[in-house]
Amino acid sequence: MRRREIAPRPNWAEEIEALGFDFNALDGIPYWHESACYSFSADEIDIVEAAANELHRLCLLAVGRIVAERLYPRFGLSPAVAALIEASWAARQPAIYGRFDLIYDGTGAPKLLEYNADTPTSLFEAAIVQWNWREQVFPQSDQFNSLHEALVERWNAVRPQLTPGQELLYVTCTTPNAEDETTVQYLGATAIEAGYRCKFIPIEEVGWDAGRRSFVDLDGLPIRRIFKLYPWEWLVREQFGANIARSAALFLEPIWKMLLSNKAILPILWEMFPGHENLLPAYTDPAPLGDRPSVRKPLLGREGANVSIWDGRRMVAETQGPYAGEGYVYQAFAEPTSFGGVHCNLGAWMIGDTCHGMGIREDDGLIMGNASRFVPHIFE
Amino acid sequence: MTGLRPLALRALGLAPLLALAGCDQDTPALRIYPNVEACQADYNAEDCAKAFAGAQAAHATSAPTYPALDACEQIYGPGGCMPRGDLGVAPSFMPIMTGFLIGQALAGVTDRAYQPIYVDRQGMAYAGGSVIGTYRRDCIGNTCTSGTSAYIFASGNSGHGGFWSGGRYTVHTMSTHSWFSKPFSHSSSSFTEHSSSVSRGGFGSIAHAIGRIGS
Repeated sequence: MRRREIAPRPNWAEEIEALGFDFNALDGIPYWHESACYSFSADEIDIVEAAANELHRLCLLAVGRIVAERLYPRFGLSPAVAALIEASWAARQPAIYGRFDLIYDGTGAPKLLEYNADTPTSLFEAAIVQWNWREQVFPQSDQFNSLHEALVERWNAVRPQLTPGQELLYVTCTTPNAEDETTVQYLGATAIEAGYRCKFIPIEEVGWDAGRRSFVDLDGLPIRRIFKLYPWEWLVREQFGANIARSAALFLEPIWKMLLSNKAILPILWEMFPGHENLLPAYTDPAPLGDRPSVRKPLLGREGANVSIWDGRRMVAETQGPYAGEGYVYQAFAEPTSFGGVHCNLGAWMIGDTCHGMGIREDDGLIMGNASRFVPHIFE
Repeated sequence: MTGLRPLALRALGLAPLLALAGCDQDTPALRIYPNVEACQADYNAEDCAKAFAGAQAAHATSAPTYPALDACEQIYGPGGCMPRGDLGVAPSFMPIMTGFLIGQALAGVTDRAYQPIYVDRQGMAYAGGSVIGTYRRDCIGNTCTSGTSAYIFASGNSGHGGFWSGGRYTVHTMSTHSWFSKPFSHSSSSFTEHSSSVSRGGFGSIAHAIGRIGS
C-alpha cells in the first residue's frame, strides 16, 4: 500500500460534475482529491475484503447476542425501540449496505474503527466517481469496486421481501442536502436498474394518515417500503416516531442496524471476541485501558464529531459537535496510517452480507470528519 | 475480489437519469408562472387559463396539510402558509401556491399536465410531491419578462428534475416545448386517496436542528 502523488485530470472538476457529483467543495474545501491516489497489491485487497466479511459476520453474531440477552440499556434504547428491533431482527428484515471504517497500512491485520451500518454516505463517490477516474487515468489497473453491480443484484435479491405487486419504493432524506440527496438518488437509480419503481420524498414531507395508520406521500398514497438516509435514533425520537410501530411500513436500512451503528457495539464485540485480529480493545469505561493511548467516542456520534484522543490521562486531540449527551465508549488508539503527515482510513463497503468495494478518506488531522478528502485507489 | 465489468450507467453516472427525464442540460431552467398573465408570454390565453385552473384545483385538494401553522411555517417559512378551508374537521394549514408549471405526463403513468408549485423556506421547489429543483426569482440572461415569471433550476445541481419526479411526469424547458401542440390531458387526478386525517412535518426536526446527516 502506498500513496502516490499524481497529476489530476486537467478537467477533473467538469468530469466529476458531469457524473452528477455536485458537492465537491464542502465549505470551500475540495472533498474529491485526485492529486493523489492509493495503490495496493492484490493480496492487500484480499486482506481488506476478508477482514470486512469477517467483521460483518462477527457483527451479526453480536446482534443475536444483544437481542437474546436484552442488552439494550447499554445502547441507551427504550423498551419501545427494543421491541421494534426484536421484531425486525426476528423477521430478518433485509439490509442493503453498510461501511466499515478500518485502519490498515498494508502490514498486519486491518482494525475496525466503527461500522457505519445505518446511514453511510460516500457511496456514490466510491461506486461511480472513483470508477470513472480509474477508467480515464489508470485504465490498465484494477480497482476494488463492484459496488454498482452488487447494489443492483442486492435489490434483486431482496425483492421477494420488498415488493409484492408493483408498489413503489420510496427513498427519503432531509433536504436540501446535496450529499445525502446524491446518495439516495444513486441508491434509487440502482433500484430502478433492478426494475423497481422509485419515488423520492423529502423526509420533512412524509405524512402520517391516522385514519389509515399509514405513512403517506404528498398525494396521500401509502408508503409501504421506504429507504431512509436518516438516523434511526432520530426517527424514533421525533414526532412521528411512535407511528413507526403503528404502520406496516418496511424501512431500509432495518431498525436492527441501530445496534451496529451505535458505538456500544465496539465493547460488546471485544467482550465476545477478545483479541480478535480485526478488533481494537474497547470498553464502556476508560479504566481497563489504563495509560494506553485511547479514543473516546460518543455512542451516537456522526461525522467524527465529539471524538477525543487521549494519551494516557491527557487529551491530545478533540473535535467539537452536538453529540455529547448519550455516553461514550473507549477504544484503544490505533496509530493511523500516515504518508508524509496525511492520515487515511479505508471504508470497506458491505452490500448485503458481502464486501464489494473500498473508498479511502484522508485528513491532515487525526480524526476523520465530514470534510476529510476522498482519494481514489487502484490495485495491480 | 469480484471481477469488474464496465456498465453503461456506471460509466455515465447519474447523467442518463436526467436525460431520460427530459431535462435538457443546455437549458436547465424551467419556467413557472405565478399567474395567467405571466403564462401568456409563452402560451395562448386559453391554455394558460386551463393550466392555472388545473393547478389551482390540485392545490385545493392535495396541498400538503399541516395540523398547525407553526408546523407548516417551519417548512415554508413565515408567511408561507394559509389556513385550509375544505377539511372542516380540525384546523389545518397548507403552503401558499407559489406558481404553476406546465408539464407532460410520461407514457403509461398518470397523466398530469400542470402542477402547483410550492417553494420551501430554503428555496427548494416542489411539484407533485417531489423536489424538482431550486427556485430563484432572478431572471436569466435576456429571457426575463418584467419580473412576472420565475425559474426552477431543475438539473444544474443534483438532477432533481429527473429522478425526483418519480417517473410520474416530466417537465420541459421552454426550448423544447413542441409537445405542447398536443391537447392537454383532462384525466382525473390521482388524488382519490386524499384523506383528511393526514398530518405532516413529524420527521426531520433533529436534522434541521443539527444540520448534517451522513456518516
